[in-house]
Amino acid sequence: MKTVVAVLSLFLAFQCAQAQKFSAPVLLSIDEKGFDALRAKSKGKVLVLNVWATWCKPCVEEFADLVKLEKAYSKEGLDVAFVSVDDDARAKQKVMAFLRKMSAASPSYIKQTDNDEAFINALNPQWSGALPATFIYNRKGELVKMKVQESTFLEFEQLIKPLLQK
Amino acid sequence: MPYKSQRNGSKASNNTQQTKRGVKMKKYIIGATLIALGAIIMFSRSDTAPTPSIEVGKKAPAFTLKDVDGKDHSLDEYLKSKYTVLIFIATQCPISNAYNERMAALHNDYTSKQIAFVGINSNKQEDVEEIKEHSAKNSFKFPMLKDWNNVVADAYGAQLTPEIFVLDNKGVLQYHGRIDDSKNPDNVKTKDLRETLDALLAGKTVPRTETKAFGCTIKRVKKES
Repeated sequence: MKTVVAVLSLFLAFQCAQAQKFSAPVLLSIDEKGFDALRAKSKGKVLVLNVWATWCKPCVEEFADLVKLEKAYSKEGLDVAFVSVDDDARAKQKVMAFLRKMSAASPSYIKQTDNDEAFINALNPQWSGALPATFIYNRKGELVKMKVQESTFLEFEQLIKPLLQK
Repeated sequence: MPYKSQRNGSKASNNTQQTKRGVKMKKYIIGATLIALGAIIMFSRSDTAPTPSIEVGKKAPAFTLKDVDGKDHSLDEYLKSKYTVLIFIATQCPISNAYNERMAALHNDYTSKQIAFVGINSNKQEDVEEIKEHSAKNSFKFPMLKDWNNVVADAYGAQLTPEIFVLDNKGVLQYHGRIDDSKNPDNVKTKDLRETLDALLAGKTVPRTETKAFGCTIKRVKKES
């Protein structure tokens, strides 16, 4: 009986953690020095880091597919991290409202730096700063793909599947 | 006999079945091959920007494009000025639009100093009428050229809007990058394009020849790669 209760409690705790992960948005500030820590959080996992903004139409259009991707593959070891570069007066409110609407997993990130160029180069010196931009890291934390264009669920899926199997 | 005929019959039907199976199999193989070929073609198509082929200090590619009234313009005609500022521009990109006033002001301030400004629109979804209206609405007095099939964007390796290329009168690239360091005019710390043009006009070294800022990806047509 004790074992059954323990297993049930564990199961419930896991379900709560999962539900929490996908419901309440938590928005953390990030600057150009913060990417190592962000990547370290996904150690041993495949990480899809998407840089977006509420003003960027193609970013907004592909967002739902990335949320769907994380939900479909999180159990296999996929993390999706969204980094917003919104920086106008109401940026945080706009980003929070959008994350809530999209039921994006937490935490999510928002740029907080005076130096956009350093922020761009910290992610990849080869990147021009054009949005949307998605950076895909393998389980070793190595950058394996930079995609600077709007993509679909299937295109993302094709990129991450072989990495998840490794 | 009946046994024999039965055997023969079953053999015949087996043969027919095998032939049918063979045909089916062939169809599957042909089908699978076609799907595989389709997939190869689909995934070898690319609408991402090619690797930039132009560097500061090197000659920029020549081009001829039509303006919004259908008139041809070649790069050579602009190179008669001391310097030429090529601006990859968009009508729908909020970042590019945040710079509309600044672009108009730059043209007004530097045109008398023999600096030519040329707008280039390479976005596949923005047509000539839209560009014409956008220019009029934002009082752009510089020519706007339409780069259908993003040929010039590809030749220059332009990736985003707004993106600047400054050329000298020999067509050599002197500066590549942003207009300034913030889309919000109140937060600007370095007016990179103005600093570049002032330095060039004064015969001084350009402070920074390559800069970056956030912008909208140029929407390209899909091409066989």
